Amino acid sequence: MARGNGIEKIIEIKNLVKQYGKETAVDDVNLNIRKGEFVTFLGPSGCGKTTILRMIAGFDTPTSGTIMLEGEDVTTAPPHKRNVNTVFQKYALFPHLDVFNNVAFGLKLKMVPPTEAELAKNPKAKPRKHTKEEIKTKVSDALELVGLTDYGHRDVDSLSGGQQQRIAIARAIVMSPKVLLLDEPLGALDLKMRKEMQHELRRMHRELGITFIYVTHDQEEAMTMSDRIVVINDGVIQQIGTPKQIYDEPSNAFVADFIGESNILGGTMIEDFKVKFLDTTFKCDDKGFGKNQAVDIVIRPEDIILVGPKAKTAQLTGVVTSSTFMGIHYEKIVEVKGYEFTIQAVTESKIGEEVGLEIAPDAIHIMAMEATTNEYKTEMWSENSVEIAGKEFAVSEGLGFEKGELVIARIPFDKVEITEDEGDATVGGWVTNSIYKGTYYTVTVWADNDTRFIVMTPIEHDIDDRVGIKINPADIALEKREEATEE
Amino acid sequence: MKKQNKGTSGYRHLFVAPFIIFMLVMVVFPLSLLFYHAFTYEGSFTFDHFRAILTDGPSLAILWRSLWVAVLAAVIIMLIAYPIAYGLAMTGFKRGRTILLLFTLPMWTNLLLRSIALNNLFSLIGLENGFLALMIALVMNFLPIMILPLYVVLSNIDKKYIEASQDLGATPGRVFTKTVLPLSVPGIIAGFVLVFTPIVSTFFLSARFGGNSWRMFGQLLSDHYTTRHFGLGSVLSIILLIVVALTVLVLNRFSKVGNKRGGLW
Repeated sequence: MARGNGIEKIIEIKNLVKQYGKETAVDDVNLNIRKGEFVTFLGPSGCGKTTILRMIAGFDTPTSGTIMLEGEDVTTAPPHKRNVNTVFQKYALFPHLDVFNNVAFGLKLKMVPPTEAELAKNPKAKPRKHTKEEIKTKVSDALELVGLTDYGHRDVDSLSGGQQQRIAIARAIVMSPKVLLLDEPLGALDLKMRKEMQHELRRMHRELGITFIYVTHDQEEAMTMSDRIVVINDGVIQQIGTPKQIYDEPSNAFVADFIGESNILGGTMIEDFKVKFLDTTFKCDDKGFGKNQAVDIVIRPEDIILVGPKAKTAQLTGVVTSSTFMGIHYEKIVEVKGYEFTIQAVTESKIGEEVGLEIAPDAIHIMAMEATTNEYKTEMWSENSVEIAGKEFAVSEGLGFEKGELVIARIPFDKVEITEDEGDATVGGWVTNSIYKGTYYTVTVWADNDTRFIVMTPIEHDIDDRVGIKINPADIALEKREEATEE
Repeated sequence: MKKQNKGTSGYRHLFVAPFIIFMLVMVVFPLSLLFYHAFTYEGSFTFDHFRAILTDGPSLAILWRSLWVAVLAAVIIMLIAYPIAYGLAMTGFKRGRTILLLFTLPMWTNLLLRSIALNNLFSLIGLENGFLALMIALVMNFLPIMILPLYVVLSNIDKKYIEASQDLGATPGRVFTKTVLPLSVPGIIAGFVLVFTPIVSTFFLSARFGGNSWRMFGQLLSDHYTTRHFGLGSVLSIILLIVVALTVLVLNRFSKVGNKRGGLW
């Protein structure tokens, strides 16, 4: 069995890839899950988190990569041969069975291996079925754990959403799985019920000692319940860490934006421990970046200290444009050189009031920008145009490429143009993400054939907006490439 | 507002009128006629027709034969239709709908034409009229009617139930017996009723393919009417109505039980 530092890995996922046709839903995921952990897969809808869960359960087969359960390769094992159980998003309770028989469903199918005492008596003892009494005891124990002791004879349709959810949990845990998979189990419940079930699930996790893998798009839910969070976007793991690590040290702008409130700005690393943004140089705790490297900067709203505008410690000055009482603090918007800081403070300020901002070095989190150009492996559409997102994009003339030649096309993020009117553009698509970074927005657009464009633009675009993509021929850099060997 | 409501509800009665007239002419009137003939002889009330039928051995034998032939035919049709519907609905078969259309295509041809064709086919291969010819004709005629409701129910079974079943340790075989089959009980019942009812009262197919030794209830009934024994014919019709009503009632009970307890099987 795989052991590392005395901590037992129960699930090891290596180089996991899942493709549906041309679309990559899960892209090279590597992940270890420790025994007894409460791990949450967190990400926006369609990010691939449910697909990973379904591959662990055995409902989907990976395109490549391996999944190990307790050191055993289960990558292609059918679901009924895996000792994991799932709590489904919409419960999936069997409508033809009552509560008792729903919970007993798996027990009736499961074989009990002979105990050591039985084997000592009879070395040829075979696995046997559960007896009726055993099933009764186990089912009533499971129903007691979820707080629905006397509901055995009820029809599942007669139960409320919350009760059905509890039965679905009982049906899974009665099997004593090695790992319990929960696929957005609280998504269909109202807020109050959801809070209650969050506590219940934590309690069950403590009492049972089973490893929980929980899938959600709700960052607050993930923060309050998990031992570790795996943040996923576009099929790629963005960060793995404890809720505190992920909040305090987000590894990139996506994580910072997705988890909690944050101020995200584009800036430049001047040298080690010195960063420049909003035309001001700040001390920071980070080093190891290249000189003048472009970076993303995250400052949490509660880490900014408001001081008088003339105070010595004030590094920036701005004007309060809104101040809302939130119960324990005021949430304020302070405009500084065109950037709107979100700031939490315990004192009230008037709208229009001038304030100073003090940002301590440890409040500034610096993240390297992963890339600054869109890169596409593609081929020439004609001598003077290239295929991107299934459409013809004109390139500068006289580059000397032939039709059909394999090339890599590179377009810097800030050279891609977004148009409101699709008719003016080369290809249409949907905005899936938009992060404000002080002087510009980083916008993600998925074109119609599942090609991603990342765009740096000063204009705001809302998520789920329909837009067009246009690129100036001179901004497309081409490089010859060899025949792809992968795939 | 209230006034307007009253106005529309007044109109609503009017919309129901055609339906009520239809029911009166097509259902209530014939049924009254049936009961009138069954219980009267030359204008006076009598139980004689019932006595005559219920004490007549050959008539009862034909009734009994019709029942078991209909049950047997329905079961055979079910056994053939279920795998077909399952294959078309559950296996991600790409041309499922097209194949389904092909299976139901014979229904678009006139029964008479179909039967004459089958007759010729049988005489070509030397199959004489009798039990086997009758069964083949019944199965061929009613198979599409059984496939349709089964296909609808099977293709509407949510995949999540199948996944839940697999997740809880069911092998593919157990997924079928413990989840798919119980969930498809409503389709089985509907198909059975749709097929059993016309077969038990069939007279054309049994006349054409059964031969003299496989006369069925429908033929007996039609014989009484053609020989102007309206009393006896009406009694047989009433018996047939009761048989069909009882079947539907019993099957519906099964359907409910099946839905709740994994029933039937």
